[in-house]
Amino acid sequence: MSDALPIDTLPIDDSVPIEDIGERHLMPADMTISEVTNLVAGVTERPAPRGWWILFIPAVMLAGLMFACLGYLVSAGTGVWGNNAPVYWAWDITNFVWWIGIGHAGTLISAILFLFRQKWRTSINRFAEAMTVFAVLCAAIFPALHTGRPWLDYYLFPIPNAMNVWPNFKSPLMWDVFAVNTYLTISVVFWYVGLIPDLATIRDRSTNLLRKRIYGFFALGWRGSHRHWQHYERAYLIFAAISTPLVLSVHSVVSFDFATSVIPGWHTTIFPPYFVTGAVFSGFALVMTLMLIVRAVFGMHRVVTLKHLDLMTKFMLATSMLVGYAYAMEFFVAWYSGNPYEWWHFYHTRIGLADSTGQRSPYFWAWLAMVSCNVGVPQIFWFKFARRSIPVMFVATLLINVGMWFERFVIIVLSIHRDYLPSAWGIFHPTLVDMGLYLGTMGFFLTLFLLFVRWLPMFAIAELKGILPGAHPSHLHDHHEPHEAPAGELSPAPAE
Amino acid sequence: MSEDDDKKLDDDSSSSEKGASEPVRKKTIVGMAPVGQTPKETKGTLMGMPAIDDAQVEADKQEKLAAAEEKPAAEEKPAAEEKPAAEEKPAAEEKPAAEEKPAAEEKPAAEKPPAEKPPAEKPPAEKPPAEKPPAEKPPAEKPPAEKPLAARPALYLAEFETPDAIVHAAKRVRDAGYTKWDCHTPYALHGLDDAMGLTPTKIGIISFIFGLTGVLAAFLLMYATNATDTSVMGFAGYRAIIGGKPPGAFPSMVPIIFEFGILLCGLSTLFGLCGLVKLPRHNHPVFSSERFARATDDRYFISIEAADDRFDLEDTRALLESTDPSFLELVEEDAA
Repeated sequence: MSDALPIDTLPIDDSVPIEDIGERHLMPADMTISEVTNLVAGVTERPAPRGWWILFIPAVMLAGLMFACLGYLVSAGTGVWGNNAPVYWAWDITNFVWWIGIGHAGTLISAILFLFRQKWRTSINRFAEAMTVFAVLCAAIFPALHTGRPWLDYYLFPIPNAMNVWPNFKSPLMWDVFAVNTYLTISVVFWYVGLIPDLATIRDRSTNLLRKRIYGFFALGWRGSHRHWQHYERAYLIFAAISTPLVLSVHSVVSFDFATSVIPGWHTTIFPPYFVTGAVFSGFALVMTLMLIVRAVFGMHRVVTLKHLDLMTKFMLATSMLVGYAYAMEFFVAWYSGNPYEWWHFYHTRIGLADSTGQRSPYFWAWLAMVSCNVGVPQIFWFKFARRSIPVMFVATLLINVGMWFERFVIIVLSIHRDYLPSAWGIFHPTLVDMGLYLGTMGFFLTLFLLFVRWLPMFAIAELKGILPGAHPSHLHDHHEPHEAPAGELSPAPAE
Repeated sequence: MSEDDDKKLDDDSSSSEKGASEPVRKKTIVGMAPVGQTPKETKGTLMGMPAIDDAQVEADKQEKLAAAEEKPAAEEKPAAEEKPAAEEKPAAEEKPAAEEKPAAEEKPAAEKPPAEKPPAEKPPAEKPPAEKPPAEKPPAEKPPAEKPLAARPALYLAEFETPDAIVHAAKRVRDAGYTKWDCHTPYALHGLDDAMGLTPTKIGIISFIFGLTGVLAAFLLMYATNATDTSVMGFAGYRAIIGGKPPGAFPSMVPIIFEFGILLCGLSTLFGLCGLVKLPRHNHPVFSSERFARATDDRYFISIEAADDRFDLEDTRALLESTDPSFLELVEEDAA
């Protein structure tokens, strides 16, 4: 990471009010349209830098570990996991919720920020969308295996069959099937539609016939026609408009898996917004971790400037506060509801106070890890030096992701290891297969991700061009004139 | 200009030799507008203005295009803008089919700006009389040179360097009444919808209809399988009472109804988009142009197809030339 440091000396204009940072002068003032093309498309044309290989080789090895664990799991059965009574949902579901949540930041960045016209999203949206697709793929592995007999997973779909057996559509697990599949499909479509003009850019730059054919095939013959752009832009808006409620619904549905049960710690109405916020929070953190790495490896400091990183850290700070509020509200409601089981669960298993028999929950450290990583660590972003320091950001985002994994662990495992009957209490110990599978999905994710940054335009070329100064006819900006007058001298429309 | 003419001649001779033996695509460089124009000028010089630009380029060459000095020229802009704007209307009222005429008529007008420009600082002195004759030549002389070429023209392709220039040119082409023409830009350029006179897209209707279809389909599916035991096409449902909820309890259907509606809406938007833009498409004549590769990089193009009713080798070129493209070429179809 250290090689990222010296180049981060781009001028940052602190005199511009925050709404202007979101709107204007995002890119370095001397950035030209063709430089964007060269920077982004060039990555796919040159040999991979060494840093890429340093990440790729271990990633592929970890992906291999995932496939080995999968093979063993399918042949031997889910008994190779540590799940046992009463903790039937453990790392597998924790990982599922964690991965799905990570994916949510991608949709948030590409859809919600698009609807709010946050132009700084253009430097991170492609990236985040790719992350969404790969994270959802990793997530989908776990519930599919958790069924125990994954070769019968087609029972999940309403396929007409001779036995007249239909799925039970009243089950939140069934809702999950629809939500996750829809989410994966729409994310892929959204990502691909965004890629079409950029694939055409790479196609038109290709000198090698094979590249021209492959990129040309996926570019669908795009020729930048404005008659196409017109439909395309509206279609993109529609995708953003449907993805926004979709992303909110997906993690809400995931939270229904828990909230519709009667387990203390699960049975609460705050779960849908709580899960969604946490998802966005963790996803932003992972986008940032990966962004910092890729930015250093491929030298993308001019596309992802400190301004972008600064805005992302503020986003994380805000979502961290929301998550902290949800943590506090869980406690409040547990107390205010007057439900003794609920309240016992929170003070005993979560914060680890001794109960009447003097026992402490064996897992109170998990709750501490969750709160300190998710609420404590991001507070550093109140300080400007932290929002400008790459190492601080890198460590903080990693810790946030650890914390968000613990949040899911706390919700899932802690709630079911102590339910109503003390005779039914138990404890969960992960096995090697649990760990291998979790690490393996990380490798699988990273492999796909590195292949993506290597072979596909990792930034939305066409969208980046659209936010450069002077990218649009001058008369359109006339009404902005008083607004941006103070900053006018800073960037004399160099794109022209 | 003379260098360009030479190039053109070279091109012509070589391509006509080729054309005889192997019927490949040929490109003919028709006219090269100067490259160094600034956005202000493109805005100011509306019609039949190559003269000014040549003069400007000369001036630029002499002064090395010092950017700082160019700024004073910004004051030129309003002055220059007024006139062409005034002239544009008569031009638009005239029958656009005869584009040569307005161009010819405006040449007198072209003399005016230099006359008025003196108040604005630098370039005035060199401009007026010296450069205009060469500028008038290209439209007059070039057409005969190309006509002998046999291949069928597919479209005219004009290249522009700035968003202002292409928006401006698009308005001209729109007002001239062309229908089978297009702008090609590396990103979605705002303001081009109006400049091209496009009607709003209808893709939202497709998405809406299919979204509703998804909502209905999901409801019917759940109702038929979980809430009734009547048999549909040999497949019977099963009235399941689970969790104390009655068969067909609507609240429990909401999540799947929603997700399935979104799914169909999204997929139909994708396929609707492909249908509306007719896109997976194997080839298009614009790709015959080598310069067109920059349409996805940093240049802006206007193409007018030969299939357009108003397309005319000379008139169309005259129209495009009058919009000050940085490059203009006639793309031809495969002679084979």
